[in-house]
Amino acid sequence: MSNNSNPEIPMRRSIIYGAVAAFALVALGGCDNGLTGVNDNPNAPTRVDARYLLPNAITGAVGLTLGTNLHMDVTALWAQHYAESQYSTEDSYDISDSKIQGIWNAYYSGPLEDLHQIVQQGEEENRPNAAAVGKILQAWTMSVVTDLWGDVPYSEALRGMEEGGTTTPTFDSQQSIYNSILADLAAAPAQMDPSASVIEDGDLIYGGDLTHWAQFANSLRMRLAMHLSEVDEDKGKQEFAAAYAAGGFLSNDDNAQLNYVGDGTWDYPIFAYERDRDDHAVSATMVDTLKALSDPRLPLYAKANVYGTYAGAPNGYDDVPFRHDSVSRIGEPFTSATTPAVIMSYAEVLFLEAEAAERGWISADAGDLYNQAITANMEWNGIPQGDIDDYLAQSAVAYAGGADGLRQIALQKWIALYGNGPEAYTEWRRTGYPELHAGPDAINGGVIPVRLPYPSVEQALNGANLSQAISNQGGASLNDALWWDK
Amino acid sequence: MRKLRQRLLAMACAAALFPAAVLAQGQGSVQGTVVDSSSGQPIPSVQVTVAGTSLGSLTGSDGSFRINGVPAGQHTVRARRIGYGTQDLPVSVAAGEVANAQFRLGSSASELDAVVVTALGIEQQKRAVTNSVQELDGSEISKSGATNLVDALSGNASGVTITNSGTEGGSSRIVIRGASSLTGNNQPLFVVDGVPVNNSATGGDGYGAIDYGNAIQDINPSDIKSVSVLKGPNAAALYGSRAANGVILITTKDGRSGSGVGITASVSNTFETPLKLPEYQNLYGQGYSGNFEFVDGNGGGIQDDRDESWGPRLDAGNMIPQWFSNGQPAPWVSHPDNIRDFFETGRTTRTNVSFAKASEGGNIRLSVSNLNQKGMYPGFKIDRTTASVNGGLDLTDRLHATAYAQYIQGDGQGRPAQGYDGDNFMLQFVWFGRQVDMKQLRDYKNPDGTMRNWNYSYHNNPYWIALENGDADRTDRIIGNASVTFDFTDWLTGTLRSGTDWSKNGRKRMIAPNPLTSDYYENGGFSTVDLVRRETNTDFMLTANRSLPSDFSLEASVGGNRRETLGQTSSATVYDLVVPYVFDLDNAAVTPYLGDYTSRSRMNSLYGVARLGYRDWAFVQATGRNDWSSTLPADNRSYFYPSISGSLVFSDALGIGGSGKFLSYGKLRAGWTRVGNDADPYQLASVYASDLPFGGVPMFGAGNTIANTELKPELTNAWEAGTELRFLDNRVGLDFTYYNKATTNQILPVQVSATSGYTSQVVNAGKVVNKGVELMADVTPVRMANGFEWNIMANYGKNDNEVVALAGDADALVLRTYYGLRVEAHKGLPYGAFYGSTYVRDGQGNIVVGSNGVPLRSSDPSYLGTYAPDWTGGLRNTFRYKGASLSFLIDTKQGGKVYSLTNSYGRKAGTLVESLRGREDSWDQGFVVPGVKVVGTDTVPNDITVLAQIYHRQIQPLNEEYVYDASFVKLREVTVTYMLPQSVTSRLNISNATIALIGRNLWMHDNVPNIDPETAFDASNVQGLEYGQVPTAKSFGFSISVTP
Repeated sequence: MSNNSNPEIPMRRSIIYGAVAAFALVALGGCDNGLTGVNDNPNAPTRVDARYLLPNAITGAVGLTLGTNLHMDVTALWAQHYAESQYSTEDSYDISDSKIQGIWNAYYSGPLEDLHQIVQQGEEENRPNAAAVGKILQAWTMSVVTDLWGDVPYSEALRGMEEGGTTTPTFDSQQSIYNSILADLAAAPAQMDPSASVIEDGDLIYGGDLTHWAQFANSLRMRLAMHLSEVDEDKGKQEFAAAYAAGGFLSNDDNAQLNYVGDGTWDYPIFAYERDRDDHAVSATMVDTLKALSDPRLPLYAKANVYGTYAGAPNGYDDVPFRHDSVSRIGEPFTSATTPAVIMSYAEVLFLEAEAAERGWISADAGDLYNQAITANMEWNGIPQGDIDDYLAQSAVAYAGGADGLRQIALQKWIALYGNGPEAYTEWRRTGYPELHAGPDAINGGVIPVRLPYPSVEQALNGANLSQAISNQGGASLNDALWWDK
Repeated sequence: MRKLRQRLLAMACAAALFPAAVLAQGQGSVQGTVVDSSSGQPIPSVQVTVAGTSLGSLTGSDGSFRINGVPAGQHTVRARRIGYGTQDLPVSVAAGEVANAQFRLGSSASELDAVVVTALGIEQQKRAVTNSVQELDGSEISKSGATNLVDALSGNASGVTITNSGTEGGSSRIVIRGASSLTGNNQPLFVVDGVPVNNSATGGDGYGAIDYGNAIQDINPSDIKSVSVLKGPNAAALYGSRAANGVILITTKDGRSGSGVGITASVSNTFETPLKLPEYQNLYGQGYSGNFEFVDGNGGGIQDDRDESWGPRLDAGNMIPQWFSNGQPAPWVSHPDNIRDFFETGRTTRTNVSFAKASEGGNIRLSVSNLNQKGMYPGFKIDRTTASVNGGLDLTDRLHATAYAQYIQGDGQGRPAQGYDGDNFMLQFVWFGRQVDMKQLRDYKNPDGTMRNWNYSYHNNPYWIALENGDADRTDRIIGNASVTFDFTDWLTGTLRSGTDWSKNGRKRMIAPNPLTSDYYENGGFSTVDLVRRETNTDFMLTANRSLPSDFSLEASVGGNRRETLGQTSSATVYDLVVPYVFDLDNAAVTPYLGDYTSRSRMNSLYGVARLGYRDWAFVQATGRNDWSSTLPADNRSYFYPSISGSLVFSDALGIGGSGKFLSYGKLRAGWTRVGNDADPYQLASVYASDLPFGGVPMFGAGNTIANTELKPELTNAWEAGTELRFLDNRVGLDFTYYNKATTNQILPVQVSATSGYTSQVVNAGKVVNKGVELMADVTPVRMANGFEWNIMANYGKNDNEVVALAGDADALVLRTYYGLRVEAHKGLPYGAFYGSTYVRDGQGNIVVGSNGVPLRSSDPSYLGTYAPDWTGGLRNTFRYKGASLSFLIDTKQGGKVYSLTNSYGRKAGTLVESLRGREDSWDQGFVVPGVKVVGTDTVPNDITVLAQIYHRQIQPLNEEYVYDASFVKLREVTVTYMLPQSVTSRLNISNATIALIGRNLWMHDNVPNIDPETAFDASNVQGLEYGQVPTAKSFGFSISVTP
C-alpha cells in the first residue's frame, strides 16, 4: 500500500473487509465448538475394577483399625496394652472431636465405600467371589465401626453417588447391623464359586484362597456371635454353633492378617510412626500382668528400659512422674517394619470356642481349648514348647472352669490380643475383665469410656438422623454403654 | 485460522524487532519544554507525541523533550500526562530543521480532559469514564521500593485491601471491594498490555510450606508505564468472568517513552532489618519447675529435653551444666539479644538499563533489569533477571503492529518454611532456651558431620535449618503478545491480538540426614515440585468511532476471545536416600512418591461494547458478553452477561463550574453489571485416586467428592454510583463511590456426611454481599510562585461483607481449622469469621476459674471476629521544590483480627516477656487470676494461686486470649528525590540524573504483642493466622537514575 493512499476507502473494499472480519468472528469465536472433551479428566480414571479397589480397601481398613489412629492412640490405651509416655491426652480420655471425626470419615469415605463398590461390581457382573470377599471384609469393618459407636448408618449409607442415594442416611440400630452382618457372614461361604476366578492379586490377605476366606467368615461370625453373650444369648448361641459347625481357623497359618512389605512405603504403621515420634510405652497393667505370670512373651511385648529391666508406664498421667527412658517401649516384634497386622487369629478362635464351651453353646472341652488357645498364641510368638508347658503348668494359668475359667479366658485373650486394640477393648467392655482402672489425671469422671461419641460435624450434616439415633440409644457420651454391653 | 494467526504473530514479532529498518527521507525535529500552567515549573514524564505517527518522547526532569525523525510538513504535537490535561499544538517541521513547541499543562480547562487507561487499554478522557478507575504512574511503582508490584499499591488506592505475608520474596494478597467468592479466587485479574497474566500463588499451609510468592511479582516495576485499578466488575464484558473481582491493568513502556538519546540506567540499593521481633523474657532459662541440667538434651538430664524456658533464674550466679560445657557447670546467664543475633542486614540491589528509540513508522524499547536480594536471615537469596522488548511499527498508513515480550529468569534459595514446622527457625525461637547464646550455635556441625545443638529432642540447630537443609527454586517465564491493527476507514478499526503467559517453576526442598527431621528417614530426603502454567488469549475486535448528527457521538466495539489454559504439576518426594546429600531420584532408598496433574480449560467468548456520548458531557455505556466454557455441562456452558453505566459531567451540563469558580468540575456516574463465572476443570465427574503399589499390587480407591453433572455458572450482580468533584481551580478534588455487589449460585464443594461414602459434594449455592464506600481526596494546600508545592492525597475504603446464604440451611462452611480456631464462611457474618473457644464468664462478665485457679474454657466455639479489616486508608504528603521532592505514605488498616500462635505458644513455652506474669520474683511464686471461682452453685472472688508455668501452659488452647485486634498504622514509604539541575548535568554531559533516598516500612503502630499484625502464610482465602512469623523487613536505601 502506498503512503499517499486515500484515507477514505471505497465502499466496495470496506464491504470485503467487513466480510473477512465477520468470517473471523465466526471462525475464531468458535462458540460452542472445540469445547467437547476438553473437560475430560486426564489425571485419574472415572471407573476402576474391583481387583484394584480391593487392595485399597484392605490396606485402608487394616491401617485404620490396627494402625496408629484407632489402635495405638485410642483402644490400645483404653484397654491398657499401651500408655502414653509424654503428653497424656487420649490416655486420660481427652479425645478430640477432630480425631473422632477423622476416624469416622476415614472408615466411611475410605474402605467402606470401596467395599460397597466391590460388592456392587461383584453382584452386577456376576463375580460371586468378589461379592463374597467384599461382604466378609465389609462385615468385619462394619463390626469395628458399630462396636465403637453403636447405632450408625448402614443400610442407606455409602450411596452418595448412586441414583436415588442419599447424603443423609438414617442410622440403623446396632442390633439390626449385627443381624445383617451375621447373615452376610453365614451366606458368604456358600456364595463363593471355586470354579470362578477369584480377585487375583488384589487379595493381599489370602492371595485368592477361597477356603481361607470361608474360614475367616466363620471365625468372624463366632467373634460377633460371642459379642452378643450379654444381650441376646439365644441368638449368640445359635449363630456361634452354626459357625463352629461350618469351621473356623485350624492353625496359625489360617490367620487373617496383613503382612506389611516393609519397603519404606508399606511399613507397619506403628513402625512408621516411631520413625518420627517416641511417645508410647507398654502399659504398666500389661507389664505387671505378664510379670506376675512369668510370661515368656514379656521380652517380645516390651523393650528393656535404660536400666535393662522391664517397666510399664502407668496410664493417664498428665505430667508423667517417671523419666522418659525408664519405661519400656513396645517390643521389637510388634513395632518392626514387617510386623503383621492381625485381623483375627487362630488363637482368638480357640479362646472363643473355649468360652462357648464353658457357656454350653457348643459341646467341647473348655479347658482343652483354653490350653490350645494359649499354645497357639505362644507358638505364633515363637515361644519354645518347653516354656509353653511351664507356663500352662502354673496354678494361676491352669484352667479353673466355671466363672473363674471365664475370667481366665478373658485375661489370656486380653494378653493374646496384643496388637489388636479394638477387639481387646471390645472384649474388655463385654467381660469387664481384666479389671482396669483409669489413671490419676484422667478426665471423664475417672472412668474408662465405653464408647466413642459421634463427631460433632455429623450434627451439622445429618442432624435429624443423628438426634434420632442418640435418643434411641438413650445417650451417646463416652460413658453410655452400647447395646451389647449390658 | 491458526495458520493465519501464526503468520500474523510472526509478522508482528519481526516488525517489532526491526523498526529501525523503516526510515524515511525529509525529516526534521521537534523540541521544547512542558511546564505547569499554574506554577510554571517543568513537568517531567510528560508524553509528547506527533499525531498520526508513532513518534514521541517523554520529557526529562527539566521538562524538556526532543523528537527526531519527524517528516517534514504540518503536524499536531500533543502533550499529555496522567493527572494533567492534554494540549495539542500545531507545529510546522522543515527538513533538517528543529521546530519549537512550548506546552503549558494543568490549567483547569485541560484538567477535564485528563486521560486514564481503561479496559482493553483504551485511553479515555476521564469525563467519559462511567466506572471507578484509579490510575498510578509507573514512576510511583518503581519509587515505592517494593519488590512486589502488589505491595506498591498498598495505601495508594482506595477500597483495595493488600495483605503482605511479611516474608521476603513471599506473597501479597490483593482484594478489591471485599471477598465475594466463598471458596474460589477473590483477587483481581492482572492484565499486561491487554492480555491477562497469571498471578497464582502456592504454598502457605501454616505447617511448613514455603511461601514462594504471587506470580505478578515477576513483573519488573521499571518496565511499567502505568497501572490502572478498575475496581468494579464492569470490565468483565471485556476480560471475562475473572474480572468480576476487578482488574489491575498494567501498561508497559514502549519506545515512545524514551527521552534524550533514549538510554536510561538506574541502580538502587536498600538494606533490610527486622521491623519487629518478639519481646522475649530474660529472667529464666531453659527447663521446668526451676530445674535444668544438661546431660544429653533428650531427657537424660534434668528437664533437658524441654524446649521451654521455665527453668532456673538467669544472672543469679547459678553454675549449671549446659549443652556446650561437656557436663561441666557453666555460668547460667542471659543473652537478651540472642534472637536478634541470628539476623543479618539484608541487601536488595536493583539494576535497570533501558534503551528506547522512536522514529517515523516505528518505535522500540529494550530493557534489562536485575533484582538481587540477600535476606535478613542466613542462607536466603533471590536473583531475578528480566529482559523485555516492546515495539510498534506502522507497516502502512493503515496497518499497525505492536509486539511485546518479556523473559524472566529467577532463582531463589533458603526461603524459610512457614508456620508450625521444624524448618521454620522462628518456630524454634518460640520454643527456646532463653539462655542460649546464638553465637555459640553458629558452629552448627561436629567434625563427624552430625549436628551440634542446644536441644536434641525437638529441634535442629537454627543454622542447620538455614544452611544444611536447603531449598532452591527457579522460575522461567515468558510473557508476550503481538497485535495488528488495521484502519478500515477513519472511523472503523480492526484489531487482532494474541498473547501468552508461560511459566515454569521448579522447586526443591532438601533435608540433610538427621535423626530429628520429621517424616524423613535417617539418610535424609527431598521433595520436588515442577509447575508449568500457560494461558493463551486470542482476541479480535472491530471498533467504530463516529460522530453522529446533533451533538451525539458513538463508539462501539464487537470482539471475540478464545482463552486456553493449561496447568501441569509434577512432584516427587523421596523419604530416604542411599547416599546422604545426593538429592536425586536415582539415589532414592525407598519408592518415591510421584504425582502429576494436568488441568486444561478452554473458553470462547463474544462481546460487544457501545458508548454513546452527548455534547461531551453525558455518556452511556452498554456491554454484553457471552461465554462458552469447557468446564460446565454442555447444557449450561453458554451464558450471557450484560452491563450498563453512565456518566454526567453536570458542571458542564449546567454550566456551573470552571476556572475561577468554586466548583471546577463535577461528574456523577452510576452503573449496573452482571457477571457469570464458570467452574474449575473436572468438577463434573468423580474420579478414583491411586496409592503406591503394595508389594507390586497396584491400587485405587473411590474419591471423596460427589461430582455434579448439572453445575450452572456463578452469578455476580453489582451496582455502583459515584461522583467526582474538583474545587478551587482544581486545588481540591474528591472522588466518592458507593457499591453493592452480590455473588450467588457459587460453585463450591460443601461438606457432606461421610456416611454417604464421600466427604464433599460440588453444588451451586451460597450468596455473599459486599457493600461499601470508597473515597479519594487530593488537596494542594500550598502552591507558591517560587515553585514550592505541598500536595496531599488521601484515600479511604470501607467494606461491609456478609455471607447471606450457604448451601441448603448450612450455617457455616469451614475454610480451615488452625490450632482449634476455625476460619469460616458463616451465615450472617463477614467472610473469614473466626470461631474458637472463649473464657467461661459469670453473669457479671467475670472470668470463671477452675479448681486449680486456671480460667475455664468454653466447650462451644464462639464468634471471635473476622480477619477482614473494617476500613483501610492511605495518606500521602508530597513536598516539591524545584528539582527536589519529599514524599511519605502512611498506610493503615483498622479493625480485623489476627490469631497469633507465636503469642499462644510463646507464653506456653515461657519465652515471651508476658510469661513472666506470676514469676516476677521467683519461678514458684504464682499469682491469682482476677475472676471468680465456683463454690457450690455460687461464684466467689478467686483466691487460688496458680504457678506461672501451669497458668501459661494450660491457657494456651484458649483461642479468645490469642485473637488480637490487627489494626495498624505503618509509615509505608518515604522517598526523597533530587533531580540534578541542568547546570550540573550538562557539565557531566548527561541529559538528566536523579538521586533518591528510599525507605519502606520504617515505623509501625499496632496493638498486637510480639508480631506484625500484617501477616499471612499465603495469598489464599484463609488469612489472619500466624505462627512463627518471619519478621517483616524494614528497608532503607538509595537509588540513582541516569539518562545520558
